[in-house]
Amino acid sequence: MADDFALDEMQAIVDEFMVEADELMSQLDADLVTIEKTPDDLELLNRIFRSAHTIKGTSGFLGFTNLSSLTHHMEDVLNRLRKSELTLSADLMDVLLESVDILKEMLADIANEGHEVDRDLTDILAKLESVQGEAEPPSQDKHEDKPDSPKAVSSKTKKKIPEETTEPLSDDNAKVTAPSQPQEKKTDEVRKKEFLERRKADKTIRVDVQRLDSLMDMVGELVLGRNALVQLERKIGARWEGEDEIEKLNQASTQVSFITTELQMAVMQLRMLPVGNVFNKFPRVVRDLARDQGKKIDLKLIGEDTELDKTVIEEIGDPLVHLIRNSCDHGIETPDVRKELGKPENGTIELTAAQEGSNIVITISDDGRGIDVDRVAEKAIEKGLATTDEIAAMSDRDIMRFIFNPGFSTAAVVTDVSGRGVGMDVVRTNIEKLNGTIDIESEKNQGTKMTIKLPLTLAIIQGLLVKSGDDIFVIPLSAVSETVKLNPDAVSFVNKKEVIRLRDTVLPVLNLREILFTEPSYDEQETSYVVVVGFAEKRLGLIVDELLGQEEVVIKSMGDYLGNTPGIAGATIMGDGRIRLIVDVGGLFKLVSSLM
Amino acid sequence: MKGTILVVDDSPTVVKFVSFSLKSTGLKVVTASDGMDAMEKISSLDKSVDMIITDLNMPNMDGYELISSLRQSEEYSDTPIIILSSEEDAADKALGSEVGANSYLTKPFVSKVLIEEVSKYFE
Repeated sequence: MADDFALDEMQAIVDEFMVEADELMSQLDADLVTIEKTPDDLELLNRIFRSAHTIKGTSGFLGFTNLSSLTHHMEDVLNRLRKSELTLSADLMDVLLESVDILKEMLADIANEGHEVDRDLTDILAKLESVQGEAEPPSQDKHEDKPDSPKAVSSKTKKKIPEETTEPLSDDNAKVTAPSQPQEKKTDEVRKKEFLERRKADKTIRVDVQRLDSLMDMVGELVLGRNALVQLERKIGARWEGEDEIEKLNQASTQVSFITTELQMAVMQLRMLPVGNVFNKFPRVVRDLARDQGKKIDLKLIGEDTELDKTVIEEIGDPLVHLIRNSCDHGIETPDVRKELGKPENGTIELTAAQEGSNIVITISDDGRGIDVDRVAEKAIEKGLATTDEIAAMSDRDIMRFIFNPGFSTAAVVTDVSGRGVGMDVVRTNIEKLNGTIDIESEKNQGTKMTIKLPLTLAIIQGLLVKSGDDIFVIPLSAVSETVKLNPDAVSFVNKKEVIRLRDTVLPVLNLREILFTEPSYDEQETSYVVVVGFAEKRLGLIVDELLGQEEVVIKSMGDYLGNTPGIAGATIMGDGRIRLIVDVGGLFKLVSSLM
Repeated sequence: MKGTILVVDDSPTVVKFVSFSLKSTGLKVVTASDGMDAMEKISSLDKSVDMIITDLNMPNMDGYELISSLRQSEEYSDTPIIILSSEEDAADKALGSEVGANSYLTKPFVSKVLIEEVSKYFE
């Protein structure tokens, strides 16, 4: 078939297919999980059938025979479901979901290799056959009355009594209800509504991410140019104050400045995707875990429309999966245990997203067993992470934050005592890479809540300009929790570490100069400041000489040669044309742990 | 071959496949994603199209409805219409010709078969 087309045309068709298939697959995934809860929804069942049907049809065009064969078998099962010849059971659902998983892998193969990779489908095809029981293939006798297997129900009876339900299977997760008779014709109203929605969708276009990236780069450069212009205008304005041209220059630069800000916002907006893109896969994850472990879990998604930068969306998936898994595995108890505790049998996991200023806050909370603070404290002491005295001085929340500590979370035994643990340091590291923070709240037997705070975008950040010695550094404002004036007498030593008392907590402090080896200034400052960075269990006060203010900066990579400089995230060009280094707070902690 | 063909299918992959095939023969192609979209495209064109190739199973307005309403209009009462459908069922074929389609192609097909079928109507 490929011979009929020029290579680039064939590629264009395959690309189109990948996009289409990808959309259909995520729809299919979500729809299948929903249909399990509402097996009567014929509209939905039809849509599921159509998704499989479309993939079958299009993959045939491209000669993807395996893909076509698997979707064909799925289509058979789905067709019988919507004709009420089969009943939706949890087992049947497992097979359908497994098929979807295999489909995804096959599609990934095509995306990676450019062609279909040979796969052994005998197992899944046999499963798809066997869930249809002894029933004949639907194409041959779809109109016949056949009381096939006990699970299947005769189609004609069904047609007469659409609401009738068959006996539920033993599995609690799936209510077995026979679908009602297909409504072939949609009402005009429904059709009109769908049509209008479609019109709306027609007004969108697809754009290659690379183009957006380069647009973003250019806007970044523009922001730098704007900053330079504004600074220059200020200087010239001061020198030639009152001149007519200066007034005009001022107007022009204000205009440019305003438009640049608007443009920057608009481009950032282009890169935003609803966080629902990530959330969508969780109903399936939770469903599978609940079924595996014999638990009953309801997942609530709130704020799926909240938008986040594409890069952040791509990176946040794994940490979220990990946290959701933790909630399912270790948080939510089994139904019997929950009953004994006087809780509802169904556990609830709530996943929310909301925008707060220039941050996105994502929370994952469950009403499971929560974290046993005393056990965490014991473990922390056992692992040598803290002394008994230190623990005694800490708040419960601070103690809980130990679970983010690498030494702590690798302790396998923790999992079953704390209801949390394994891999939490990895989660934290991933989130810190995105300039985000994670914190925890938990109460024994009440549940656990994780709060993740992420910047809206990665390319342009709000930076705190600080002076250390003769150098000026930029600290990402998202990592700064507060700044305080340092009273030199307040510094004391605990275990040979410099600390200050900040309200009710003891905060380790370090001079930024010692960490980054900057030259001491000749006119030694009398006063200095502490910038408190980090969150959760890791907080650190950085002593700096001066706080210079806040500015929007564009992060530039340091290139291959200097890219891995510890403690430095990148560089930026300031309005005056000088280069300033941006402090990598996550990296700083690593650096510091070797010093302290 | 010269002329304009309207291709209607809710799968962008199929639309692209058919368009590329037809364009290689020198034909002009207009595309639509369903029956409703097709009706709109047709009414917005200055000149009527010379042939319509349409899928049957589509959202909003399916192929049968599209063909019936086209056949009722004077402009398209005898324009060649080819049906594309993956339904292997013979009933579809019958219903298709009942509402006024000229011929039938079962998906999937290779480019050559499509061009052969189309060229029958472009002498």
